[in-house]
Amino acid sequence: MMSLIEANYHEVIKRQYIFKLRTHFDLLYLIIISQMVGILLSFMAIGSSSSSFLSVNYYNSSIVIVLTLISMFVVSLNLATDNYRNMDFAFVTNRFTSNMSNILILISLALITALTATLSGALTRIALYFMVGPEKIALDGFVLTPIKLCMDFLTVMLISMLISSIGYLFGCLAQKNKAFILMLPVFLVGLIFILRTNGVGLNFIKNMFEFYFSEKSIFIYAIKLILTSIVFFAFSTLLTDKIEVRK
Amino acid sequence: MKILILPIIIFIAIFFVVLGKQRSKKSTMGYGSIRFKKTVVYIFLVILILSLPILYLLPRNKLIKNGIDGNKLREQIDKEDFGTLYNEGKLDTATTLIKQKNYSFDIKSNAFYINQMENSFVEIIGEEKQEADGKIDVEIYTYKSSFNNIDVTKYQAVPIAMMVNNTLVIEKANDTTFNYKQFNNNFTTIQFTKGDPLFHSTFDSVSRPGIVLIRYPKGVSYLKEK
Repeated sequence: MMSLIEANYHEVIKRQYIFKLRTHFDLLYLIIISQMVGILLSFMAIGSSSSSFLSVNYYNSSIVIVLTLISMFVVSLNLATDNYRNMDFAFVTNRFTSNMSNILILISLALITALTATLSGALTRIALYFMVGPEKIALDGFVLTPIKLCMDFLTVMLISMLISSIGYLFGCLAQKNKAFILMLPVFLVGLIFILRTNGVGLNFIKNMFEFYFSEKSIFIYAIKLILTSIVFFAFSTLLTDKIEVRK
Repeated sequence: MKILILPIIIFIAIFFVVLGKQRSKKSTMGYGSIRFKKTVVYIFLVILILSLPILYLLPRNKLIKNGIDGNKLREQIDKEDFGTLYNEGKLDTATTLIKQKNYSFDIKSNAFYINQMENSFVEIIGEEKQEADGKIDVEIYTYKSSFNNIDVTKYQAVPIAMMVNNTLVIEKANDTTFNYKQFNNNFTTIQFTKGDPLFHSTFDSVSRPGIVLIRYPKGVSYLKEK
């Protein structure tokens, strides 16, 4: 029986988004666990330097961020799989609203995990303060200024969003054609080979990294990452737009 | 502590993953205890949110301050060269040259040897006194030193001077190894910080050899031992 109530896109996306926020809690849980592991790992120094009578160990939250990004990739890849997609059909839906609500979920996850990854820096500092004692910690770098916190939050959020858009695209490609499931490891191994050899491929990757990660203006950097994420998300939406309701 | 980290990580990973995956009647999609997961996530969030005000409340007076500009210190040390100041009689005016210790030894012969150990990291300057008082006076000076803009002068060991038979031995005492922790930027913000290296593979260290000034009595001569 067909409903006479006209479906409103915004309303449908909003409902799906709220529903997924509640049901996809395990995705956030996965990221949080990886961050907890990252915090423990960050108690180990990421580098050190020394002279004849001095040695200094360096700490930061980079490992927490790396693990967050990896788990964001895995989560976004999962979100595009059948297990999660078929849940949408409990609602009035189509591929477009499903993708939009998924994208909103990924952006929400990027926001939450960027916040937790940023705050993990404070937790590491407090833990080391009490474990090794303040007389063995340099004041420089210990203080997290509001500007530093905001910058950390923004950059982690943007990179998380970009990584999740790439992961979601891979997931959608795998939806379109199962051969892409095999393509992902091949792509990653290929990438490693390219990075190990000098050539056009390496130059391309270098230029690509420089385009994003040598940008000194945070405003332009944000625009670059947001636009790239939008392109990937849009491509994912277009790819899966014509897939039949249930396979 | 490092030895403990890996087992703790393995324990946490197993504990949370296994408990998170346990089937529960209250679970969503019949997969994983959502109550357990929510509890873990909320506790984690509360701890993180509380950590920020706690960090701001922590007393910072004991933290190691980096109040020295390595480049300026280098320039100042170049200006306050020991030889120049010594000749001009202005050793007291030096700001980067600190007298660490004085020694005084009796000498009965008219000659003595100086044995400088290889690791002493000092320059020896000899001066004949105006009077024949039968005493060798040894003054040990050090230049201020810095490491990543932190004043580390006090951690430098003071060289030891001792008279063994007719030989003045100068050797370096064991250094106090100073190990400290420094937080630096995350890789995500490194491009926006002016030239701050990610892993600090290079560091800014200012350190000069100390000076041992030996004042010996008039009419006494010295020889450097090989």
